[in-house]
Amino acid sequence: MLSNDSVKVAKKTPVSEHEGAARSGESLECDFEEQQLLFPVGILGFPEARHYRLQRYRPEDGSESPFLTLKCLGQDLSFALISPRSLGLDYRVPVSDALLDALSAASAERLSALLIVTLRERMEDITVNLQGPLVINPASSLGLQLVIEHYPLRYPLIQGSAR
Amino acid sequence: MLILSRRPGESLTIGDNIVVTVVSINGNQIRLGIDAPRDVRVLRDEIYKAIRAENQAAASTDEQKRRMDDAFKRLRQGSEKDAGE
Repeated sequence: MLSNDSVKVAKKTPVSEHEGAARSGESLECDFEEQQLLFPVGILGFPEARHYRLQRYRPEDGSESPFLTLKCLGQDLSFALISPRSLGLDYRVPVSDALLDALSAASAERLSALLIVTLRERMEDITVNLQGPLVINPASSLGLQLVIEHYPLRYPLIQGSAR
Repeated sequence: MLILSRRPGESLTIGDNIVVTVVSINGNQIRLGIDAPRDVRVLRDEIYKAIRAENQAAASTDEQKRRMDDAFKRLRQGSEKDAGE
């Protein structure tokens, strides 16, 4: 049987309720509802798509969801995202001066990390990309896709599902 | 493909501001040093291709939005069902 622990955790702790500054350096939180973002070099594989709108995903019935959508402006392209915190992960992003520079951020506390969800037909096949997080700076409206080689590319959204 | 021979310590320049240096050779492993502007992404090719492919698999078009809604719905129903057990 499926264990939906991760989703249950996510439901109890909506993204917007995560308050407080990120701990120094690396555990980047996410606490916004809607945001326009510029990805100056795009997302890997989509170099021309640079302008996006990030918003909380609202199910039709108005209930809470841990998901966000990143929709490209002017292109038929969107991604489903989730905060690593919603997965109950201690997810750490290496924050370099180059990263802070690229996102016009003074410190890591200004940044948020979000993970791309790969939706597949079977629920237990849905995975989250921990290796290529989107790191954004809400203050400057800038984002980029970082690569963290030691994290898995396909982390099952629902832990305990048969792989 | 342009093919050049270089010795350890020698470099080649790509464009105006990218320099690739052969740092050392040890058997069949070559260490390269790359100097590039910060906005130029330098990745191992297999990592680049894997993440690009995953991004492409994750990308939805508007026509697929319904599929996204369906997946979210199923996830929610699944977790509610589990919670109720």
